[in-house]
Amino acid sequence: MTVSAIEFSRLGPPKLRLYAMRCGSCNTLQPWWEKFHCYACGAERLTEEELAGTGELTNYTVVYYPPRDFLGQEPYVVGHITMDEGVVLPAPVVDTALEDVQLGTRVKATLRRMKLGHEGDVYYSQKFVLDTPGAEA
Amino acid sequence: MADILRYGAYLPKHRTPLGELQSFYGRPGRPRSRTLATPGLDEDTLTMAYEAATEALAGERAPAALISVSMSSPFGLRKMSMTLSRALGLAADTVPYDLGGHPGGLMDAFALAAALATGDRPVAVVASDHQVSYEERVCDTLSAGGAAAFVIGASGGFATLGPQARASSEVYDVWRLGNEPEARYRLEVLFDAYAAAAKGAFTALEKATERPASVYASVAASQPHPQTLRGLGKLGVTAEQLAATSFVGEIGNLGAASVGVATAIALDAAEAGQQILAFGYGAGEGIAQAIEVTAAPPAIGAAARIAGEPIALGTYYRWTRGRQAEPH
Repeated sequence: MTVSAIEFSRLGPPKLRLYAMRCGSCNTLQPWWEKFHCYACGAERLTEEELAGTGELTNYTVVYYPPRDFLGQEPYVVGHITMDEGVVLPAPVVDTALEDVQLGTRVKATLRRMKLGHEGDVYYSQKFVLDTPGAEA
Repeated sequence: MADILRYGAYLPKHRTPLGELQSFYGRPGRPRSRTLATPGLDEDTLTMAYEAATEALAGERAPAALISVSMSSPFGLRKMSMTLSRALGLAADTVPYDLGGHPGGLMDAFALAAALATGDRPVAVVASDHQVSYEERVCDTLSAGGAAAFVIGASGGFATLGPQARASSEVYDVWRLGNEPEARYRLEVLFDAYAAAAKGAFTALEKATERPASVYASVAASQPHPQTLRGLGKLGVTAEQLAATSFVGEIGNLGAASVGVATAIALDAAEAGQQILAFGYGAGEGIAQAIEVTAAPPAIGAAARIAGEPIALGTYYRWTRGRQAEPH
């Protein structure tokens, strides 16, 4: 989705921090976009909770033909990250050779550009890098 | 006086072979740098500053202030320190400062941090640059990217920030004409101004400390071009003092991050009791900073990060084309 600068400002702050939504009723952790409805119990009282930023790659695919907004980054990995807190989040895994990506790989969150908006606004978000001993921060 | 409590450094993992780039643009002569440290398409000054600051702040007390130093887009008109503070999850009362104007600004940031770090909470200082030169100009200006971060406290660190001395002259080694997409650089003016500023700053520091340049275990200098480092030899700086901290001939000019990454490499190798001389240069001003190492630094292995993974010329072109014209 591409939005104007004005619309962008209405979408709220960029995802500079990695967080998920905690259900105030059943205590289940939901992905960050579930702001109003708990899919476990149906409650509507959810609060933001910061995540430690580490997890495990539990599923992934390699994108060779990206959408327009991500042209130039291909080929890149998008995976399902099962965070140590238990919630599963989709996110790109970067700075790694495709052959080094495996299910079960430990990953950690980092801040990266997601895309450049058509009015020059930079979209930042959380991506993941391999969290292996000796890997750079 | 203030102490360095921790530090961090970040270099992007990709390296563009400069020789191939010169051939592509039909530029004769030997490449002045073997490769260029090239940030990925999804990296910029903020993301690299985040990486370096995360490493420096790991396990540290929450800083009272965050000072960011950068000259690159997209934060030419906006405060990077505020956004970086939010990305790092720092407390809402962390005071954000921004310094720009010249690539030696990290030394100014050290002076500001030393003045601010008077209480229990330290001050975080981050220098980050992502220089992107317009097409063939990159062959001369060696534009690359990186970041370095330091946590400065009133006391209790492994190194003490000693006296600082500076020398300034007004020069036009960089300027922009009209709507040109990128600033122009005049290298011969840079070489002369760098040498003059270094001489003035080193002489002033020697007066303040009564120590000649030769006594420092290593010299960590801003390095916009390999030729500038050779000029330091005339001031009594030996090849051994620069051996570990010189990387411009390997990965290019890191801009404002240059002196920071060099200082991180010097601290990695330092032992208690040794002295380090950090020298920041930019826009005709040279700032020499004495650093006294009082205990073994918590080494981060910064020198090992100089090596990277080569990328194809096409990848470099795809990642950098139009980047210098991005809005600030």
